[in-house]
Amino acid sequence: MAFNAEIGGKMAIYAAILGILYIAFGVLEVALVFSGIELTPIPADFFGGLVSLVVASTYITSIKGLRAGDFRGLSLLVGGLFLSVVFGVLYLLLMFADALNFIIGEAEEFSALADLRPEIWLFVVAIPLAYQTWSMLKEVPW
Amino acid sequence: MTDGDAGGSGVGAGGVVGERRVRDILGEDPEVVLAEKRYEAISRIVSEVVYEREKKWTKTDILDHIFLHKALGIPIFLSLLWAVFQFTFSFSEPFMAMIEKFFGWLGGIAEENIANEMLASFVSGGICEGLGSVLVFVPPIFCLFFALAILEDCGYLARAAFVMDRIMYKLGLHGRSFIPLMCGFGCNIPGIMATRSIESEKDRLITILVNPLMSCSARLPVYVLISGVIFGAGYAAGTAIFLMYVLGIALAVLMALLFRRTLFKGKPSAFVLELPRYMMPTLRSTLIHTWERGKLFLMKAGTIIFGVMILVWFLTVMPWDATNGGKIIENSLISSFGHAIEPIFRPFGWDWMAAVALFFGFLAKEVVVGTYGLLLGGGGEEEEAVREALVASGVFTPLTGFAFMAFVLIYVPCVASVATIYRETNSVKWTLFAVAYLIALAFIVAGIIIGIGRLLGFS
Repeated sequence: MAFNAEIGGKMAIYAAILGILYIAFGVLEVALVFSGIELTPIPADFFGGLVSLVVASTYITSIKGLRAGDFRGLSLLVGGLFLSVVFGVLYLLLMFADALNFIIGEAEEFSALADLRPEIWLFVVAIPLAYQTWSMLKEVPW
Repeated sequence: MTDGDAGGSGVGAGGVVGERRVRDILGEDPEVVLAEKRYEAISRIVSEVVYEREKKWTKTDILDHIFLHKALGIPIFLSLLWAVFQFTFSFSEPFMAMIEKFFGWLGGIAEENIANEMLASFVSGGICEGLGSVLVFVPPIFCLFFALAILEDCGYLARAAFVMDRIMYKLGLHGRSFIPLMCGFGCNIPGIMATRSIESEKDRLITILVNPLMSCSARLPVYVLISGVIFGAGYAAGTAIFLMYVLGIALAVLMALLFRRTLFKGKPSAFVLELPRYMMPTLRSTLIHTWERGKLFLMKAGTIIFGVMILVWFLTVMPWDATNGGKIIENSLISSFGHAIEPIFRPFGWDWMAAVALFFGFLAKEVVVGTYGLLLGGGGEEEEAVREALVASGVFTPLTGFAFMAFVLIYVPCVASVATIYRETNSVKWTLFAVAYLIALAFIVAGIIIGIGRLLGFS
């Protein structure tokens, strides 16, 4: 399947949704640091929130190029998906580490739900788009 | 341009004089200027005679466009760096706990079963508490090298060098300096040695002088310990460690700028870098690279660190009777020494144990942690992990702990690094200068952190 404006338009909608979600959760995570409110499973994480905003900015800046069928837009989308995968896998590994800590008796409790922070959900949401992009890029030479 | 214009005869000594004259007129290396003019002429001719079809994007183009993006390149790099340190600290925690439990169990067995008190203290205190408190950090060190190996093997790290060059050139640091500085994240010694690739002597000296500010893996155990004490488990501790690496980079850039404006005036020479191909790193090659770097830490642990920990253990238990076999730390030789140098560090809120740890940290940075392991591990009735003991002692607040981490980042590099600086510069003057300015900078930065923190109401 070749990349063109028609396919790019649909990918742009998907990218826009992901971008808005990342912005929302990024701002929340930063704001929770200063508010002191607990909103499990959204953590109060200043730098984690900033990173989410970086991911959001790649998705949002990709929209224009995707709608025009421009490879620059596809490149930005690839960057956003790459970061989504990296941080989704990272937080899953950290969840595993927390579980292991509980098993060996270093932690008093473990709650999988509490550890399922938004970036993990967004990683799952991004998987179909990542798969489609990967399939499209298989035809593209190195 | 004729030889007459250049003022030289073209070859030999006259050619050298001519080259200098051209450099004075143009303000730049004549080879660089000639290359630029040559490519300008080529571009002009090509634009007039060659018709380009629509560019066909390759996978490399797609990835380079995002990773070398003018606006997003650096935020992406910093985000990935943050991910590396979150992985390093948080993922390795349970494995560190397992090693801690093992050495605690071993120390207990030694104390119960070895009849000779001094030998039991040596095995339990010197080996299990001292060396063990350093080996506990094998998981985060291997995690760090694993993550860096992935970034390097996939081809991204060279792109990061290119992205950072934009800022580095503006701040007076040569772009080629980024690779030795990145090497410094593993160990400052190969980082300093890698400066041999820099042609300009001024650029090379600047890179050597700032390389110790790149936080090497030996400092990681200190960060993991102190950040765990002041922030507990979780994202805050990993972020504090990330901030240390960012602080190191920021200080390296700042000091390079200062040196460029004062000691080494002039512009950095041009930076040309061939970007490697992108490749999917294989598990096997990544593990091999991880092991190659990680085993250096294990070898160091088995030699230098072990030797220093024996020395520290000896100073902790002597005189044997006065310390009751090492149980009364306050009566030991190390306590006397620590109290003697404590006034230097008291303004920062650090006690004599911190002073002693910093002193022995000159030999190898990991010894800072090992020293705490010995000083805090032998005093109580139960075997306590170093972290819990530090938390219980209350010696570090978030402010003083953060300042301590910054001090460890900046103050004099380990003795092996100092020896390498001497070997690479072949100059006692520059070696002593490096040691002196780093110690001064450490006090200044720690003082600034404490000062600003107290102004903001932190204790």
